[in-house]
Amino acid sequence: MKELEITGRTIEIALEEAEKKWGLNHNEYEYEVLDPGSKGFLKIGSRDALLKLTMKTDYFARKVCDYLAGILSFSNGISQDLKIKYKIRNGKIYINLFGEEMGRIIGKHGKTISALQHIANIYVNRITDVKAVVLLEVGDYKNRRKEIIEKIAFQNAKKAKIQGKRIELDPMFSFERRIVHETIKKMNGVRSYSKGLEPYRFVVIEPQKKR
Amino acid sequence: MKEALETIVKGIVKNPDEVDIFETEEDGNVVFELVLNPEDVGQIIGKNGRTIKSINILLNSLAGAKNEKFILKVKR
Repeated sequence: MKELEITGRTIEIALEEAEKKWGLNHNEYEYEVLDPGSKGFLKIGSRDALLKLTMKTDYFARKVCDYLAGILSFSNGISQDLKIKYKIRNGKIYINLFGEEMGRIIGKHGKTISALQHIANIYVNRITDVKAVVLLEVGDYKNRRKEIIEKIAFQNAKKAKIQGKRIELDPMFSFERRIVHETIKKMNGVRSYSKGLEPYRFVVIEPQKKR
Repeated sequence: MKEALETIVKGIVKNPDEVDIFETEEDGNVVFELVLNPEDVGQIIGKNGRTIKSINILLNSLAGAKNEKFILKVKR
């Protein structure tokens, strides 16, 4: 969301100019008339209209999708049948990318998609006042990855318990480490914590001492 | 790839009109030198270099099969 004040000879002209300037669609903003302005008499005492314009999250979501499509159009192969869809939930912008060759957008261990998400967040936060969150998803990669990580966490926790020793997992992204911690929390007799520095931060699972 | 870099960078700086990119080569790698308004230098590098690293990852995966390595340098 972003609020700003605009002026124009009339209310209609002010809105028309704002739409043109920022590429806004009718349904992407709301406005409030602070001063309707006055034509005056023979141009004496004429006053411009003053409006408070509020850009809605829809506007930023559409803009960031255009931005991402623009970036991906430079790749050889990815963009041909790329579809970008977005939805807004609790003020967060969820963007889903569909198409062939999505493996390249995801990258090794999701490296590229994380980079793209980081850049999308900076883009949106440069044009909004209120902090906005953009989440990227390629097909159902994150969901599939979540299942895999839960499995890894569960199996290693079992191993830690049975062998009575602590286990260090491979480095993971923060959203992946969070999945591990959430999985471990639900189990008895084990605990987990993160160790190391980004981007090599990893999770340690260890048997919990009985008190 | 220079155009791709330009699109990415111009979308996240405060002064897109002051972005200049020079392309050179060094030991078989493509080097892009970014010249920006001093105000934007911190933004483009990001905390712990996260943003510039993200841009680099993105460029390399956009280039895809060619397997080029890009080096990014930031100047004010």
